[in-house]
Amino acid sequence: MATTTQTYVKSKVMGRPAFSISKLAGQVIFYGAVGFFVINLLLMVSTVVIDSFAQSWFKTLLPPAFTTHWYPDLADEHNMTQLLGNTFFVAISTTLIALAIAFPAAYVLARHQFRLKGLLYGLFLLPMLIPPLVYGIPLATMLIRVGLGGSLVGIVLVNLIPITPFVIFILTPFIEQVDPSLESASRMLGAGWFRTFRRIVLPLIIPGLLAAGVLALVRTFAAFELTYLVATTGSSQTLAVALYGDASGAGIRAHQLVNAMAVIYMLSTMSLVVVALIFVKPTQFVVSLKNR
Amino acid sequence: MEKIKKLELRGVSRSFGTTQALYDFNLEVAGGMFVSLLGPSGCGKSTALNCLAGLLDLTHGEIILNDQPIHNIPAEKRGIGMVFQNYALFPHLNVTKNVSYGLENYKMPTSEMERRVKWALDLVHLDLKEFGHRLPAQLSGGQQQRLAIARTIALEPALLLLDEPLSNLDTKLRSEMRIEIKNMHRHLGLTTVYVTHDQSEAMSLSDLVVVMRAGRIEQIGTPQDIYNCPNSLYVADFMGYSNRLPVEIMGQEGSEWLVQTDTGVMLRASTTYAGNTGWQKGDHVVAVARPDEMVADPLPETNRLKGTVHLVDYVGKAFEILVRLDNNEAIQLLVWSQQPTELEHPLTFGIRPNRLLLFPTENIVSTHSPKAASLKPVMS
Amino acid sequence: MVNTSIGAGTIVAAEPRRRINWGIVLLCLPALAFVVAMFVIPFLFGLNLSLHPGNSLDAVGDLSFANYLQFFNDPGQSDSVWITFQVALPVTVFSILISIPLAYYMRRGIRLERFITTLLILPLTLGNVMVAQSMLLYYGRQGWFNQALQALHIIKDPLPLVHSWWGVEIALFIQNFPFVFLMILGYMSGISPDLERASRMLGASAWRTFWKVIWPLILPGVAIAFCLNFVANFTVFPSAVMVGRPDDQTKVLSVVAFRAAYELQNPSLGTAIAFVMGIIEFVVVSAVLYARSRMTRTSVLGGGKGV
Repeated sequence: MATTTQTYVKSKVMGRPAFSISKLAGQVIFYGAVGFFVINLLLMVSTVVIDSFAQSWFKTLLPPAFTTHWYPDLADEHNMTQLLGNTFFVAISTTLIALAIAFPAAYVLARHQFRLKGLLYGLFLLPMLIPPLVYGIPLATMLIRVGLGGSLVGIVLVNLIPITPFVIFILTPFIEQVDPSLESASRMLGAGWFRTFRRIVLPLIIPGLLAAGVLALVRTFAAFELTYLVATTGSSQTLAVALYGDASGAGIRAHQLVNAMAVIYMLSTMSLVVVALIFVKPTQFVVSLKNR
Repeated sequence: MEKIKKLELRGVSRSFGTTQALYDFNLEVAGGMFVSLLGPSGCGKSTALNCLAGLLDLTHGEIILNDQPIHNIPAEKRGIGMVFQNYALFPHLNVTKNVSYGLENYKMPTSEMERRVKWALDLVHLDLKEFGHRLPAQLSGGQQQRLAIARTIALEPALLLLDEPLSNLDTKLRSEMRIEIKNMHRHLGLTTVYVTHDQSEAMSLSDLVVVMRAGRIEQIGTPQDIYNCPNSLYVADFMGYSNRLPVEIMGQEGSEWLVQTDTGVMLRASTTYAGNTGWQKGDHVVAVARPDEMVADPLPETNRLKGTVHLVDYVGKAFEILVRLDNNEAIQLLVWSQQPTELEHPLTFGIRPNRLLLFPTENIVSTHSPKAASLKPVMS
Repeated sequence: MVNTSIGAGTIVAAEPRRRINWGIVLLCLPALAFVVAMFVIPFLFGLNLSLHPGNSLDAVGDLSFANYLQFFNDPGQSDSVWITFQVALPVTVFSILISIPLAYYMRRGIRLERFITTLLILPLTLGNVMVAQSMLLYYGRQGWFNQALQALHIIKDPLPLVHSWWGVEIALFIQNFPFVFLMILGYMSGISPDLERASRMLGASAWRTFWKVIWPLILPGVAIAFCLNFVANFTVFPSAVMVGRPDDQTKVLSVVAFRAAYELQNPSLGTAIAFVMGIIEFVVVSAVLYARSRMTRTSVLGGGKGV
């Protein structure tokens, strides 16, 4: 039954919202649970923002007095331009390189049947399934040995490891959706493979490339473990690493200062998320794993 | 289960949000009848079926089975069986388990369950020994269909609902299963409601056909009634009255109307349209006829039309011919002969007055009209 | 595909030779080379390194299991295996148990669906460091959460929700629950609604339909979701340090591995501990996947006896 693999959202036959106790109870529990989670999340994030403008905050509902001096202080302590520059540089170059090397591989996985395909699949799947810390420590050690420790190139390289397969598995279903007979038709109409690719395949894949690109961007932006293992020098740090450094070295800095950094971090990532949501349905964040 | 004496749907309606899918649906079915709900997709036939099944709540109206209202009983307690268009077989259960699933729901003793499973599978000609342990995915389309029926029949439901059960089968299997469904109905005497968009299925299976349109009942009648006397242009179109001529009323003679075509030919036509009495001379109406009732040989006494043979298509045993009238109006006819008619030759043909039906002009999208495009010129 | 049929009859049937499709090789090469260079080789390098104890990165000397033995013989390090399970398992099981009823409720779509999923995605985009950082104040002893519970007279003294085992559980839940939920929702909404309708038409209640039809069909997906979630929780790192107690209650394997590699300057031992972590995960995931294949096989082949 091929139909069972489809997603049946919003079936027309949904049942009329007739009043009944059990339905009401279900609604209360569902929206209660989800609401509790979401409200906690939002409040949690708001405390960070409020605190970054607080002179001090202790045992009260809201801070008694507000100030903006934590942000200039932050700029004194960190080279924020460099931090932001590093973060965006790493995120953007990782994404672009990942797209470039993942696209041909995704195309092959989507279009061709060959021996060893399963092996290839498995090889691409492994870096996504094995958590970064397991291979991160030997990898960082190796990068230090070849002299890439503490360099932005090294950080881009390590972030590419989980991101490239991630992009491959997002792109593959998009390419599968493009009817192969379109390519055949284009060739029968006299177009060479390059022209076929540029005029037929590429325009139809663009939504997939956008989705994969945006998701990779957001993920790399928040990536911590691998970057942390390689970013051994201050000048190669990204926002997430610097935030961790400030936060876990507690006691040295006022928490307002750390939270000011957190606000900068959030604003940057939120700007990416807003762009992401224009192009991508939220559930696509996990769709790659859903499709095996 | 208790046999049905009478099933009534009274003023049943159903809306989804702001769109109304079913309006004031009234139907009375006697026990043992085979009723078809016929119409194109989106006409409300599936909504009506789902309301009857209990899978959809009614917005208004009531459903009464043997004088007991059942519309507030949940689907699982109505004792109605339903076969789904895509079969809805449980993919993780084998054939035997699929059939026994419902029996287990009714807490049937094991021995009775085994007997029923065997009986139901026998009835649809699925061999328990060979297929019992297979999963639905390991069955062919036809076998899946049989399993879906067996699973429902095993519960001996008082009422059987079939939702386009044959639409996923190829032509040959479809006619085979159609005969089996008919045999089964005769054999078990189950009251059956059958939803389809295929008029020939509805014709051949049913005691009663309900033609639906945009959420409303357009006509209820026996297959013969509906076929011979469609009471609207819509039903006529659905029944294959694909030739349409705009005509002008000239007068009335007994039960027949005198009408004139655009090219000035006088024709006699009867009508099945119920609200026709008010037509005056000069009114514009539509005359419709089925291609197989347009005849060139033998030529009828009256109602003759002249045209030029435009396309000839051999359809096996007969030729489908497209004739163009002088004003370029296209008429399709079926000629029962082995001799192909010459292209571009003039042809005279006619139709019996009682097979030329008149309806008021109405804008409906025909399900047949652009047939001409599919007719290929004959190689000569 | 299309052009092979043209003129095929004129070709003298030759023994089909296996040709290497260089196009495929060429297209896969960049990704393949990258994964081998950056993943497979470091992996092997790390394996070699972990078997050569000492602070040298050159991995000289004889093969030795000394690092692994040292880890398991030092109770101060090896107890982190048990600690990691204590941290990872409860939150994994809890996330799955919560997700199933919520996804069941949402399977046909609900009001505000896009809005809700967007909000749920938020923690995925914030990243684990940010989630931990924002928990510090909110769930702290004087934070809003404790203030609210005290104001409602649910508790008298503030709960230790950060810098504790609870802190890590909450962080992991916030971080990974949306992922589990959306995955299970995907599986759940992939089941044809007609199966549920058919089940009802065959006389089964909603409860029975869930257990007899929906549950067996989502079970393989739940197993996958469990594995992925467990793996993510098992390697918890920044939140174990930031909102946990990395010296005792949440001294998880990744913290121990990181300290060995960076603070003790012993990458060889650190790598060995990271590999221990990987091996344990592998064992757990294999066990779950094995159970999954057994379950699906029995439900596929074992049926029919009960009739």
